[in-house]
Amino acid sequence: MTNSVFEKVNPLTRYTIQDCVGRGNFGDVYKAIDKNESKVVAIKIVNLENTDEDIELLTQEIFFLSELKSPFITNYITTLTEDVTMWIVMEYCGGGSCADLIKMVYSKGIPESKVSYILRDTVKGLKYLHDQKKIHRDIKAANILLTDCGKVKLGDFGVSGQIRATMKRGTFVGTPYWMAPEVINKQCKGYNEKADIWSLGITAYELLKGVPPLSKYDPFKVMLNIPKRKPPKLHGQYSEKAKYFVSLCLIKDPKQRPSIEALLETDFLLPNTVLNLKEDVDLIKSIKLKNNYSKTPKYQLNQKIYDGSENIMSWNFDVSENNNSIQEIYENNIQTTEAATLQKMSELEKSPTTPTLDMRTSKPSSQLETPMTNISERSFRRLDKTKNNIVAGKITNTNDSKTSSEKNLFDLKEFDYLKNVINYSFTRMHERAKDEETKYYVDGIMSNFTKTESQVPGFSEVFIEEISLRMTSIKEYIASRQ
Amino acid sequence: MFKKHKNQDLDMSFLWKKNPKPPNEYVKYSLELTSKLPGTTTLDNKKKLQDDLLKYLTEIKEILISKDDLELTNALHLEINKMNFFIVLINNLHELNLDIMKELNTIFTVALNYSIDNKLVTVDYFVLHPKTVQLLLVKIESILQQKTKYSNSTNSRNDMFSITGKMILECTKYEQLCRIILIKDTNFWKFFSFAKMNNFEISSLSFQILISLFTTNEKLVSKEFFNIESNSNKFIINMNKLIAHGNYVTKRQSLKLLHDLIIVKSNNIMMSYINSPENMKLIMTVMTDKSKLLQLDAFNIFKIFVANPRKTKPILDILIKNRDKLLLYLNNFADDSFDRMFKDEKEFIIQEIESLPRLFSSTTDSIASTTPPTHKNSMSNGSLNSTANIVHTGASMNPHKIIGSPSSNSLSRTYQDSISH
Repeated sequence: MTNSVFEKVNPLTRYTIQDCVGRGNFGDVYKAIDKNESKVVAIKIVNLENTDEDIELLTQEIFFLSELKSPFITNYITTLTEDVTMWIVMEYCGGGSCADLIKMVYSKGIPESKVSYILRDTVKGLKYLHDQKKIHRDIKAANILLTDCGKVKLGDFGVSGQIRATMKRGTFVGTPYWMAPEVINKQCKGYNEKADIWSLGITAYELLKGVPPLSKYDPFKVMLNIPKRKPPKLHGQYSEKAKYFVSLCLIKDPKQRPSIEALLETDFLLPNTVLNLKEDVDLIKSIKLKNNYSKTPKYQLNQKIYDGSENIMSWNFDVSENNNSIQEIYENNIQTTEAATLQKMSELEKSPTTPTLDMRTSKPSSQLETPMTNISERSFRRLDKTKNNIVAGKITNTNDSKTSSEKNLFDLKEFDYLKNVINYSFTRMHERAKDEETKYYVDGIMSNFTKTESQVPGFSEVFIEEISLRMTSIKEYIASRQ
Repeated sequence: MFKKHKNQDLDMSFLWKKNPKPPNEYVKYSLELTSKLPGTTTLDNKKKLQDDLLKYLTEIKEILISKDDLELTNALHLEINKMNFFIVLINNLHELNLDIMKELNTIFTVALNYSIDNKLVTVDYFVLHPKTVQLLLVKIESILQQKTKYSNSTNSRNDMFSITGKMILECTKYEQLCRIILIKDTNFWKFFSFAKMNNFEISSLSFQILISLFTTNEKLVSKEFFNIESNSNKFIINMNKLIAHGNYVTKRQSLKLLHDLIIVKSNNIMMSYINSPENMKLIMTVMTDKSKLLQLDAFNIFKIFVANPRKTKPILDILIKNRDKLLLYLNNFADDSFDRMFKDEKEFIIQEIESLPRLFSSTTDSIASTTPPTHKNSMSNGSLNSTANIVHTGASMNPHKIIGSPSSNSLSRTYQDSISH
């Protein structure tokens, strides 16, 4: 099932973020678990507040990405937004990349039969992209990924490629060893899919030797030299088939370079005895586990801009007869008719199942009658009627304005207990707290809840269930005594 | 092992050899196959029909793109229009799989671009028979409204929306088709609602369509759309809703689109936009958003309100009322920016606001003539207002002063343009 059109899918509740598996200028890549479908995914989290990247270009790229589907590429799954970030969810390849394979297992180069296997499926993935009139732009061992069962998938295309191609600062990202001469050469305007063929040749060299050609030289010098030099050649104890394949890809004139279809026919890529790289993948995994291999993300995930606090400033708009609050300004902009259409459409979507816990019966004020409130009197303001208009006037106001939207909220299929009950209540407690120390403790518990929920999905729901069960029974007990 | 994928083993040429059909009848055969799809219930049979259909469409696409045989290409284009190829396929969209829909989209794109003697044949045909374009606009909404997936559909709603949306997007590139969508039809307003939806793919594609509709054919938009007052008003109301209620991405894109459209002189919407206090309140509210980039986008519109040499009374009232707050805000605003032009503009806006009369709270009931209370309510209601004392802070009340300001040349030129228009 894809996510429904009308419901806001909260990525934080749908996915459990695990390790950071990659870092980039525009965002980090995480391994995560899709709780709805209990499968592992890779999520590229792009922080839009911290990138110069044009949103329009980014979304256009996502449209394109969403149409690509092939067993030989890491497929796009969906995109979600959260706070100021965009979450691009992709298939996850648990076996790491071919660069890991070189680094951890075959530092002197991967055996030819396995390279042939890897390249055959890489070429199939690349053929799919080229058929869709798409250039990868960044073929290298690090972007050839391995699945848990040792299959090969081409990854990291699309979004990243486009971003690199349109970098405003004009700086190259990454190392230039894999770049085709015509890409580096500025006189040559534009390049086509043949650039990928060159990079594929360099990648073949890299897989067989363990390093790309000229790797001992400074990347900048290499970049200047690639267009001038003769194409690199594969020397050493390799088969003629392998050497021929590399030389075929590394023809300097893009017009003379073979197409991806032609490469599929070469002897080097003919099927051999290798069926998968499962053993290698298992080996990589155990090494990673031993070395506690994970990356430190560039951006902190829990640093939200919209943390529920007030805007940075408030204006004085009561110049005219309308005493407009921000809320009203926003509300004024909903035309009732259109809101009704949307409402009607979302009703079609509603599922008959109600949340396990019926929230409608519990009024926000009911907790006042509980004995708990009295205990908390020392550090919290009491939310009683006499003080309401002075200390908590804002709180009551927000409640009133929220009631209509909350009715809808509670009818949704997925009720977010963490957000709508736990965080909501703690935000209120934060406001009621008399001093900074109390606020500090409130915030501490709140963030603990969020953390726990991400580790133990459903924690909040059970917690609330237990609290309300207990409160119900206490109330019943009191009622029976009276 | 792998699941078999449709694109794998595409080379099934033996099928063709067994029962070769003449290429000029590919359109006819695809339509026959399409019409059989709804009645086919077993999955296997359906799959077979879809596979065949995909092959025909791929063949048609290849012929149209390669143009190797011009006569055949022309014949196919003619056939496509004559047989209502697009209408039939769009109507049966839920029966097609993603690969077929992608081929359909490509054929649509190629067909629109097809010309003989500098005449866009398909576009001209669509102008005479606007049914195809209209159908797309109706179809895209019904995709969203459908209760569940069609029972036999191999498609997800997102994919269908995405393909239909992309076909509409393609239409917006042609002025004549854009006219059908923007001027002759009212269905496009729904994209404003779609752009507010929670599903990212749907909201962003819908917004993309809006951007393209309003920015690709400038002349059409200014001469035939914004020249009608009710259109401009409705447009601004809808943009405001996106700015107020969209997600972060939509908000940023809406502010940018709005800015880009109001500064186009020929659109003639700047004055009506910047005279409305409600518009300015919304923009000022976004300026206090916690996102720095949204603040910046909002500032780029706010400066147009402030730089206007003929601000209306309600606008002046708000600015005066918030004079000190605005100065405080602007002095700290994007302090780390190195953009020369931005700094100049900010400096200019600060000067403008500093030149506004300062508002003092005092016991005297006199109100300076610059802001006479026009509404009874404002006298009795706002306690600040009724006891306000306005003090001139220099001779800067002359609204035309700004035009001479060197740092604001670009801004004031925008005004002169739009005022003289």
